Amino acid sequence: MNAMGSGKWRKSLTSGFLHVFLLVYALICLYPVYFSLISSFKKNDDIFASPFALPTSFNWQNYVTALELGNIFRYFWNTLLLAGGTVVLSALVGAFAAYALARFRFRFQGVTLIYFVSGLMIPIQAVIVPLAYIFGQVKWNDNYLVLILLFTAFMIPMTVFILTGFAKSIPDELEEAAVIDGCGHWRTFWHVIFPLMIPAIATASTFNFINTWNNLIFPLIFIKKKELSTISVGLLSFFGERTSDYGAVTAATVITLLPPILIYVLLQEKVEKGLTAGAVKG
Amino acid sequence: MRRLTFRMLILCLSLVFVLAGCGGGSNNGSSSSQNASAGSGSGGSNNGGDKKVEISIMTRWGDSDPLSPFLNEVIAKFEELHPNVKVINDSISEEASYNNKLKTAIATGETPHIFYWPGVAGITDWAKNGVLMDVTPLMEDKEWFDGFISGAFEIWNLEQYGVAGHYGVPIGFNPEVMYYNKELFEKAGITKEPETIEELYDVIDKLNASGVVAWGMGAKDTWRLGHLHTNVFYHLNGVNAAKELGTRTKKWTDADVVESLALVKAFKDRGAFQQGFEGIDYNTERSDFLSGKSAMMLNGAWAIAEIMASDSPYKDQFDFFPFPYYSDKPEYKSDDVLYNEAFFLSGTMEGEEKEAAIAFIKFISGKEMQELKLQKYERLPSRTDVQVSESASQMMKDMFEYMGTIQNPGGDVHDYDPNPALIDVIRNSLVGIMLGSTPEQAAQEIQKSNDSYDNSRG
Amino acid sequence: MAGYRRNKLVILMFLAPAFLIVTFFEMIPVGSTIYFSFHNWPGIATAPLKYVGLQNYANIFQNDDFLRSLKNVLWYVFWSVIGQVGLGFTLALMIYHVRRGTRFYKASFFLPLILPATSIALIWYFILFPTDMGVVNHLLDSLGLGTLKRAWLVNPNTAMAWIIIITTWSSIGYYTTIGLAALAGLPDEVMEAAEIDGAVGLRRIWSVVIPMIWESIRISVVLVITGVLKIFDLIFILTDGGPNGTTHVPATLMYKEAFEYNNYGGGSAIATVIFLLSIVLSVLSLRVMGSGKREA
Repeated sequence: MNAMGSGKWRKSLTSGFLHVFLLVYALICLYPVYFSLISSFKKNDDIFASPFALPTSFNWQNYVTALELGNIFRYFWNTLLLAGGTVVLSALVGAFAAYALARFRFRFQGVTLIYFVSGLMIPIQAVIVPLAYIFGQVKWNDNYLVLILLFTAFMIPMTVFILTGFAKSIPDELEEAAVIDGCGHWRTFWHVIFPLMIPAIATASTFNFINTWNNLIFPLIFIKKKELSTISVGLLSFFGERTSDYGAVTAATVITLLPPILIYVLLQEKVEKGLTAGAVKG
Repeated sequence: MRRLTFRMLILCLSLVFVLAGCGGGSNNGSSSSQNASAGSGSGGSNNGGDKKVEISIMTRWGDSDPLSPFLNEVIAKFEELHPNVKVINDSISEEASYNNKLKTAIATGETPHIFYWPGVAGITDWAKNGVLMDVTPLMEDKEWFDGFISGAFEIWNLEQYGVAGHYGVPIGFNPEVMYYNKELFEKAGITKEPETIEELYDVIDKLNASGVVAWGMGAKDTWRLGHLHTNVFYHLNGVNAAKELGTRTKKWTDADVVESLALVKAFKDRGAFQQGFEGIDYNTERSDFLSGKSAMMLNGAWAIAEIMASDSPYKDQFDFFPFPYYSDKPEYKSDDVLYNEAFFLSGTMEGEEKEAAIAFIKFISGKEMQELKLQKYERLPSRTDVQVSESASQMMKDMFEYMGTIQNPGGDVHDYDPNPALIDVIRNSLVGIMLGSTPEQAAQEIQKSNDSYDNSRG
Repeated sequence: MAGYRRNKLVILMFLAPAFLIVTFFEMIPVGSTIYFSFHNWPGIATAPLKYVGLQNYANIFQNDDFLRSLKNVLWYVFWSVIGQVGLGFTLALMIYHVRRGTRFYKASFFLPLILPATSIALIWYFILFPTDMGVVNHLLDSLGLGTLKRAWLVNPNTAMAWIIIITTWSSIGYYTTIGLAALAGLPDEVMEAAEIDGAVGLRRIWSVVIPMIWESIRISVVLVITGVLKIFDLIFILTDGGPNGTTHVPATLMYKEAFEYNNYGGGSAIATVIFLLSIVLSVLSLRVMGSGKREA
C-alpha cells in the first residue's frame, strides 16, 4: 500500500515539475506573439520609444495599413495556393520515392538516397542566378505551376529523408499479406504503405508548408507581377529605405500567423488519428 | 473504407491544386491583359490593338517609403502624357532584397530599364560591360540639362576609372547636417550654434551636464558611423582626398586618413553618445531624438520630411547647423557632405523602349517633377531652376539655401572607390574602433581590402 | 516475394517523378554553381566567364574572414545540434509524459517556427537591448547581477552565442514535432511497461524509448546540420555579420561576395564549400550515431 502510494506521489511530483518547465518554455515561445500583438497597436516611433509598454489605445491603423498597402488578402491567397500545391506534390512524389527506397532492394540504392538528401545541403542563394537564367529564357516567371515544381524540388530532400526513415520501419508482414491477397505494387502502396506513412507525411508536410510559406527569395526573384506575389514579399512593403514601419510589420505578422498555426493543428490531429486507424498492431 | 476516402481526398486535392496552378497562371494572365486594355482605353480611344510599350523602373522607394507616392504620381502623370507607355514600378526598399533582385536581373541580362544604385565608382564594371547607357548624348538637350546643379553630371563621369562617358542622371541631393533640439540646448545653457569642432566639444559637455544624451548615434546600423566618418574626413582632409584615395594616389594608411578614423572615436571618448550606442539601431536613435531623449542627430536632408511627419512634441523646436569645421583646417570649412542620388539607364535597350525610358528619366528629373518633389514631398531636387514653396517649413527653406552655399561637395567617402567591398570594410572597421581596436589597425584592414581588390583586378 | 522487391520497372517509376524534379530544379543549378566557382565573373550577363581554376578556393581559404566564419559555423553546428535535438526531443518526451495540455504546449513550441525572420529580429533586438531597457539586462539587474550587463549583439564575445541561442529557440519546434511523431509511433506495450515503473521509468525511458526513436534522432541531427549551414536571413538581419565581421558564417559571406561585391566566382566557391561541408558533417554524424537500431 505504502509503496504504491509513494510511487503515485512521486509520479505527480515529476508531472508537476515537468509542467512547470514546459509552461515556462511555452511562455518564452509565446512572448514574441504577445510582443507582436502589442506592437501592432502602436505607431512605429512608439515601438522604439517604449517597446515593452502596453499600447495606450487600440489603434487599428496598422491593420488598415497592412491590409491596404500590404494587399495582404491577395498575397494570403497566393501564398496559400503555392504552399498548398507544394505540400501536396511533395507528399505524393516524396512518398513514391520513399516507397522505392525503403521497401525495395536495388543497386545504387544508397547512392540514390544520398542524391536526394544532398539537396538539403544546397544554400539557396547560390543557385538563384542559374535558376533565374533558366526561368528568364524559358519565360517561366509568374508561372505558379512551375513555381510549385520549384518549391517541391527543394522540399523533396527533407521529405524523402524523413519518409524513407519511417517507411523502413514498417514490418514486412503487412506487405506480404497484401501481396498474398493479390495486390500488385500500386495497390500495395496505396492500401498498406501510404496509410502507415501518414504520421511521417503529416510531419514532413508541416515543415514543407512552413518553409514555402516563409520563403522570400523565390517569390522575390521569380514572381514579377505584383498581384501574384506572396506574403513574404508583401511584408517588404513596410520597410523604408532607412526606417521601417514596424507597426504595420507586426500587424501583418499577426494576420499571417493564422494559417500556419491552423495547418499545424489540423495536421497534428491527422498524425494521431492516422496512428489509431492504421495501427501497427501485430 | 477510411483509407479509400483519404486516398481519394489526396487525389482530389492534388487535382485541385494543379488546376489552380494552371488557372492561377492563366487567370492572372488574362486579368492583367484586361488591365492593360482597360488602361489603354482610358488613355485615349486607343483600341486598335496597339501593344503598350512597357518599361520597368527599380528604385529603393518601396511602398512604405516617403517618396513612393512621389514616384507613383510621376508615373501616373507620365502615363497620361504618353498613353502608349506603361511604367512598371518594381521598387523595393529593403536593402538585401533590392540587392538580390537587381543583381540577379543584371546577371541574367534582364537589367531594369531605369534603376537606382548608390555610389559612383562601384558602377565601373557595369559601365565597362554595357549594362549602363552613356547619357552624354542626352546632355545636349540644353533646356533640360542647364537646370541641373552645376557639375552634377560630372559626378558620374567615369573617365578617371577607365570608362569614357557619363552614366548617371542626378535625381536628388541631400546635404548632411546636425539637427538639434533648441529647447534642450537652451536648458543646457548653449546660446549659439557651434561652428568649430572645438565649440562642438563644448556643446557636448554642456549637454551631458544637463542630463540628456548629447548626440544620438545608432551605431548598430553601421552606416551611421560611416556618415560621421565622411563628415569628419572632408573637414579634416578635404573632399579631394577621398577622390585621391579612389585613384590610389593616397592610401588609407596615410597619417591624415588614419587621423580621420581616430577623430571619430574622439567623439565617443568625449562622451557624446549614450552608453551602449554601439547596439542601438537607427530607428531607436531617431525615436530618441524625436522624443527629446537626445539633443543632436547627424542626418541628411531627408530627415526634415520625417520630422515634420512625426508626432514629436518638439517639432517646432528643431533646427540644424552645418557640420563644424576643424579650426586648424579652415581651408576645408566648406568641404561638406552632399549625398548624391542618380538613376541609371540600361545599356541594352532599343527602339521604343529606349525612347520611352529616356523620356521618363527626363521627365522625373525635369523642372516640373523636381519642383513637385521639393514643394509637395519636401525632398531636395537635383536642379537649381526650382523654387521652395512659400508654405514649406523653415527648416526646409534653410536647407535649400544651405545646399546652394556648399563650395566643395562630396558624397560618401567610398563613392569614389571602385572596390565594392569598401563600404562594408570602412563601416565594420569603425565599429571595430569603437569596440577597442586602434585606428591604425582599422586603416590597415581597409587598405588590405583595397589591395586585394586591386590584385584580383590586376 | 523476392521478385516483388526487385522489380526494376516499378522502382524506376516510383523514383522517376522525384528524380526528375530534383535533377532539373536543383542539381543542374548546383552544377552551374560549381562551374562558376572555377571562374571569375562579375555577375553581368554580357561579361565573359574567366577561367581561374582553383584560384577562388585559394583566395577564400587565405581570407581571415572566411576562416573565422568557418570556425563560427562549426561552433554553431555543434551547439545547435545539442540544443535543437537535445532540447527538442527532451521537450517531446516531457510532453509525451504529461499527456495533459499537450495541444497547448505543442502549438506554443511551434510558434517561433512560423514567425518571419524580421519579427524575430525585432523582438530579440529589444530583449537584448544594450541599456537597462533590454529585458536581459533588466533581469540581470533585478537578480543583482548588474555587472554582467552587456551590449549583447554588438559585443564580439557574446554576439555569436546569442545568435546560436536565438536560432535554437526559433527552430526547436521542428524537432519537438519530429520527436512527438516518433514517440506516437511506438507500440503501446513497451510504453505501458515503462509507465508502470513510475519514477524508475526515467531510466527505463533512457534505455528503452531512446533506442526506439533513435532513427528519428539521427535524421534530426542531419537536418540540424544542413539547416544551420544554410542559415542566412536571421544572421543578416540581426547582426549583418557584425560586429566587425565576427558573426559571419559562410552563408552570409557567400551572399556578400556574390550579391554585394560582384565576385560571383568567389561566392560560388563558398557555396560549394558549404555544400561539401554539409555532406561531410552529415555523413560523419550518421556514422557516429550508428546504423539505426530497429525495434526488436
